[in-house]
Amino acid sequence: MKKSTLLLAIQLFFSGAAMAAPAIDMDYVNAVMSGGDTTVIFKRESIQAFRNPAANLSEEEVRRHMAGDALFERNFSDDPGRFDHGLGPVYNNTNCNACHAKDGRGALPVLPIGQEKVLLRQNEAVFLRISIEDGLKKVKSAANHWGAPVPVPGFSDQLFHLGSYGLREDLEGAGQAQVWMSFEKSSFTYPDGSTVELRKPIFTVTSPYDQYFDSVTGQMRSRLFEKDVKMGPRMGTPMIGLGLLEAIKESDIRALAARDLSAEGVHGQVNMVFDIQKSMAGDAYPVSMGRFGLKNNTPTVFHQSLGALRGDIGVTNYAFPDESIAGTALYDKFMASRPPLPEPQAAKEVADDLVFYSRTLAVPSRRNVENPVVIRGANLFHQTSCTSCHHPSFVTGPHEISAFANQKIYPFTDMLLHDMGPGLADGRQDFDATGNQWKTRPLWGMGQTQTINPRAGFLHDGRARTLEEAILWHGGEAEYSKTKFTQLPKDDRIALIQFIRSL
Amino acid sequence: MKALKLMTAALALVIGGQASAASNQEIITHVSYNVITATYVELAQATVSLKQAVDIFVQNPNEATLAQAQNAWRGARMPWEASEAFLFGPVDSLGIDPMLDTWPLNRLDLDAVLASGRTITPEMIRSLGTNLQGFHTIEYLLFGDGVHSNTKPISAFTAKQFEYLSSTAQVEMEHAAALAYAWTNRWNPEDASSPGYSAILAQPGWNNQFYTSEAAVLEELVKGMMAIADEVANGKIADPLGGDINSANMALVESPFSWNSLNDFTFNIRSIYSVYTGTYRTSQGPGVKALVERHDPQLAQQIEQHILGCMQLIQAIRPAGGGDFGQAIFTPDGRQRAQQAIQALNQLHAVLEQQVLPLVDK
Repeated sequence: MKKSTLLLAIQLFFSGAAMAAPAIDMDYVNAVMSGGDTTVIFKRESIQAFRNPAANLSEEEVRRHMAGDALFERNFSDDPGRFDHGLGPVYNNTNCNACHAKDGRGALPVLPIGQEKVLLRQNEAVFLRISIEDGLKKVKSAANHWGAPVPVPGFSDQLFHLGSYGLREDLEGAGQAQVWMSFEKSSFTYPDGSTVELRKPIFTVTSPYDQYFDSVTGQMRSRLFEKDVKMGPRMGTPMIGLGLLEAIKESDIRALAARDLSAEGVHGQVNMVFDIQKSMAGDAYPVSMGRFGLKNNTPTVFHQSLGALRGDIGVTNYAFPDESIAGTALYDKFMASRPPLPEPQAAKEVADDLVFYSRTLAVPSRRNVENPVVIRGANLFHQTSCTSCHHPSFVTGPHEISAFANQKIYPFTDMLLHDMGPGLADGRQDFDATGNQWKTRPLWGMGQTQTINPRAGFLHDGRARTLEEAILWHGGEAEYSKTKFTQLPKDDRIALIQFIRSL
Repeated sequence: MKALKLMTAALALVIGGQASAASNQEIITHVSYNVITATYVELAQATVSLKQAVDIFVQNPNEATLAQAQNAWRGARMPWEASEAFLFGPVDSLGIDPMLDTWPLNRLDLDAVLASGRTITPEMIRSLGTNLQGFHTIEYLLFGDGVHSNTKPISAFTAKQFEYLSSTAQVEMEHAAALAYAWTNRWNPEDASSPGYSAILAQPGWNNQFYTSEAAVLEELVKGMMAIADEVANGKIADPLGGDINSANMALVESPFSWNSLNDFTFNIRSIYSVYTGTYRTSQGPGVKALVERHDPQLAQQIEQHILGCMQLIQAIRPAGGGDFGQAIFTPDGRQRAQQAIQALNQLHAVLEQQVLPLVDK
């Protein structure tokens, strides 16, 4: 501990500008219980690491969690003979687990060796967000849905590559369009001469349902191919500790946004976003601080989960009663030949159990904390200023689920948006987030991620195959830390990564 | 290198006779190669047999060829269900589990495809939902709806159903082959230098990307056994059973068309037995039992008997007058026998958690 404090002092002395910043509590170096009393103890790596209810839930709460667990894994169906029907008519997957494998992180589709591109089919953990932009920021109002991205006319704010059979007469199983993935490869060279191959997935869209041949230009046209359409891929993220992130005090997050880290080029920003619960309650200004989604574009687990249930799977619910593509030509044509389905499709209890489950998955304990390499890596993590954005700890405030209140937690995120540079940018605005900004990902559970899913990819589109690749993609506000990392001797770089693996 | 690994595996097999002396590494090596990988290799072979039997039936449909195809389906179902204590690694990362075994089947869309008049090919099946391919789609097509019987008259088969059967069996075979290849040769299809996942599991250590210690692999094996004991008891059996006879739900029964549910569940527990005893088919060597034996030989033996007892209790749910689990849940005595199986499985889970898991640290 003494060593940690000393390192902190050195850091503060040299960085000069950190005076206004809340001090980093270096107890994270030794901390084991990442989620406070909610933590489930895992001494080692296991595929079961993300699948457990928070350790301090009541018996009744565990029962609700288990009910949600069954629903999270269940395949929804568009068959009215099935008790859990409601899937589609367009979707990206048929169940929650498919994007959040064993409650963990997804992976990009397999691109077999020697093949240039691959079609996104069933059971992929990635989809494209889409919207149209004129480049102007607008004042939040009901008319612009409180600053939300503008859906592409005839589509939605999400591209659905899958559809119920018969939706597309020309393409079996396809949704609004087909999506292909290829890789753009590059290489990073460390100052010490060693190199790492990097890859970035490039997505291209073909056969949108509205395409037609333009005899003037001789090209296929679609609303999706117009210049103002922005697209950005999104990978399924881990489900652990979401209730705890919800319980972090807003004032603590705002205090981190107010820090002066300009010497490091870091400027964390809050995203103020549409809040469905406030809207349902009749609030005249239904806007709250964003905490979830890759750009902090949803405020609560309720909003995020039920939005995904309707969006990703096409199961309407009491928070989102209309199909994502209601009112489009594709929807109208399909429904004309089918009996109307009950709305909403998920019973209130089903929706609530799914939300409860999503809030109550435990964070696993840290491992190998006493390993000298891990301890060295933990200190290097602060010396390279990773802690500026991956803020180690909070004490949570009150929460509806009392198990989450007043817990000392170690999520390693400041819950803020940061400009991550052009390499990671998707060019899409999302409420107050620019096309370059992303929310700092929590790092808890990182060391279990690839045991759970060996091909799990890091970053918003799953491009990074390893933690090292993920670090090397950091740019923009993270350039300062990345440069410090790359200048470390190889053993230190390995130690820092071993620390992240201990989380 | 590969030859060396096979030698090690073979060696583990030979010393299986003195399992009590087996080290943790020997347990891990034997289970990785001779239980888990062997199960997936058998699955790949069984889906080839299924494809062949389906094609023979399609070319010459009669009661004998249908029975052979149905038996081949049951045969492929065995190694798959007997793999559920170790659903880690490529089965998830390559997305193979949902391709092989998505439940429920989407009968609405399946009927629409069959009625569409389109040519059904493996490529077309690949474009359809996971709920329109795999074991349960083949099951429905081969066995009928399972309501009054698990046999389907030859006259009920249509030309489109033949096309669908042949195509979906082809795709199933390819997925099973990819899974076996990932365990034997290359776990990551995008990386030619990646070894089979068996080598990953069998060589834990600080430099192993997934398992930093032998104890981690042993814990994974024990937790895998616990997970499937829980899943069979409190998911596969308890969900359709419901709180009382009026809330029993046939729609939640897995493998209802073939009336194979009880065999499915039994083979799930067989996967626990394989990992625990290190026994798979004719292969014998140290399993997790060897770990328990080092500390408490009597407990080691009791657990083995408990696992076998669970399999017997599951089989005993079968109604005397015919039928399977889907029929048993609507009878008071069937429900009672199901409750006994649930209780035994939950006890097994508790023993594994409280008495076996702590031994990983000793």
